[in-house]
Amino acid sequence: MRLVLEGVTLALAHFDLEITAGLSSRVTGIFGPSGAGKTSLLDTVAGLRTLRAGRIALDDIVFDDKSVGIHVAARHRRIGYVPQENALFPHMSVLRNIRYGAGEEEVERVIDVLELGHLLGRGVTALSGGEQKRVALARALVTSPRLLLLDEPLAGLDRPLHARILAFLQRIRDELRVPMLYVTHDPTELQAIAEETVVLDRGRVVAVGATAEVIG
Amino acid sequence: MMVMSFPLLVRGCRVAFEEINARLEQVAKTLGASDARVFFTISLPLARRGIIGGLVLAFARAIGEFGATILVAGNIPGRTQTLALAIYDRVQLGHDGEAFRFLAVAVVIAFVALWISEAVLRNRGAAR
Repeated sequence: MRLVLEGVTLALAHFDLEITAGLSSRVTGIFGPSGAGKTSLLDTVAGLRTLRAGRIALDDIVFDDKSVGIHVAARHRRIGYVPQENALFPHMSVLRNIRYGAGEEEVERVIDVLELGHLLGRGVTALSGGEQKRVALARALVTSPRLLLLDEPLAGLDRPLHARILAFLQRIRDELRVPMLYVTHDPTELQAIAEETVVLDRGRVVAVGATAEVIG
Repeated sequence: MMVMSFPLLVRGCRVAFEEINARLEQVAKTLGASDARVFFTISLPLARRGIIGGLVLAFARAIGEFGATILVAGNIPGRTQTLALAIYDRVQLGHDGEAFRFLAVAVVIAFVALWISEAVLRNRGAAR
């Protein structure tokens, strides 16, 4: 996987996001303080925001190129997105959530990897935080995404759950082989899972490189 | 009647749709759903309680409509006569007993409509 962000410019409330980076590791961390533009970057890659300028390409597929008027709609990108608040569909069961965008052949495998078999008939609002996160991950994964966007996947979970969800994310990385952009403001998470990290501050890239070097 | 009660329905629907977490619709799009599928599988089911609440209030408002109906559509029993106009008719004719019966019906409908509307709106938050 190689994600290219070339002169990506986006107007935010208090500053402009301006990013140029080439990312090619299996898991790339996006690190920075709150309000640095991390979620906006994910929204942009997902196709939920329109660029003011720049180009976004994944391998040989161009998703956005403002100079020639290319903008591929979010629904055609096959990019999985797990927002911080999960955004599970509250009026659907776990299984209906997971199958919303499915790819039938992937459903069983993903349910198996994320150990969700016993929850399928339940309503999503009755699940614990960790279970909801796994359902949100499964829902994104059954579409066989080219790239998985994770926004603060461990935020709001108890410490003991961190290790458990991290283990699931590592299984997704190693067994399902889905590349990820992993947004967080916690360096320990990145050290555990991301090979490469981009550090953002007020919409600008302040460092890119191997996680161990960038985060230290 | 429709003109007078339509704003209640529109307001109920608008509030219901505005309250939907936009992230749900965005995530549905990233899962490959078209705008129409997002509307029918996410937006509409989540807004349905608000729509039902608005419909009930609009219905209650419509059957109690007086001024606009009598001026524009007239007071024709069985066709354009609303409950409020029927009560007015009976009072004019001195049929107080019938007027009170209609009044009782109007009061019951008003309370039931309000109760249904409050119930569906109150449960809306819980359903999200």
